[in-house]
Amino acid sequence: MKPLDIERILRDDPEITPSPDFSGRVMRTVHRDIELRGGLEFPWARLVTGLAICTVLTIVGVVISVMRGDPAPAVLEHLARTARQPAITTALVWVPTSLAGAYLMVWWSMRAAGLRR
Amino acid sequence: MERGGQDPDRDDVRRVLAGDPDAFAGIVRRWQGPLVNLAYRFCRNRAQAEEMAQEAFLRVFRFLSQWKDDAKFSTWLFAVATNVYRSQMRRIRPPEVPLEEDREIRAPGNPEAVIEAEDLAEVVRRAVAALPPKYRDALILFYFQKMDVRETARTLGVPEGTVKARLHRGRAMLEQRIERVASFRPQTEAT
Repeated sequence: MKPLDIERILRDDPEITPSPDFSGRVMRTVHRDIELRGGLEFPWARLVTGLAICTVLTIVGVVISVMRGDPAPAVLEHLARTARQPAITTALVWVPTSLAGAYLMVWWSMRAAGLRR
Repeated sequence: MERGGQDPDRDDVRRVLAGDPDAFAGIVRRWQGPLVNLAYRFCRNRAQAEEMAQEAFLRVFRFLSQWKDDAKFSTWLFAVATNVYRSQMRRIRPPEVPLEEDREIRAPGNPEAVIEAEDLAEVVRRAVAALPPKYRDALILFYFQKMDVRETARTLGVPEGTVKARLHRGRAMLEQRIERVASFRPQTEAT
């Protein structure tokens, strides 16, 4: 069999037509999925990309500022002074820990209730 | 797919993302033929092709927000569907083709050879579906779906050179396999 015959056979493969109720079945599956999952997938990839870009831009800005010897803005000095206070230092540890704990509890509860797969 | 300066896919995607899931029906109606046919090239079974296409549409719906507005919707759609079909083909056995299905492949200038040609054509198509996945995917998109090299490369997420190499190697493997089959079918050479 010649290569051209093979190419002709591949290109001439007849089309098939979906069943008349195919689109209806798909939409029923979609609606069932919405009920089970509670809507569309959260766009985590876009969120992470956006956060990464913001972080990189912030770091680049700070580095350029330091290299040029710019004086630190008043707001940064104020933030640095505030962050060094003991109460704030403690809060910086416990608040994220509490939030993470709360998130885990909600996630586990939803999973146990069968709201997430 | 653009009509009259508007893009119905883009409009439907925006409506779905704005909270109207029924707008997805428009996407299903427009793309059910291509997606079911693409699935059929992988599995060579009509019922299974519809199941695979249904799963692909569901995946498309779930990840609709990941479609980048500046990219061609059809390329993204085929990329998602190809990924779904590839993973489903890993779970199921190689395709079997019932020969009683309504196909009509005619041998040029020889009507008596219709059955023989139909049989041989099906052997070739089945052989494509049984190739290693990276060659099979390239051949299916390029030949069956009639994409060019550029579109095939974008759909598979590989460089154009890689697609050309896979097409070349895939065709060579296909020829070898067909030769092997033909050597066990002396009646084929008689036509």
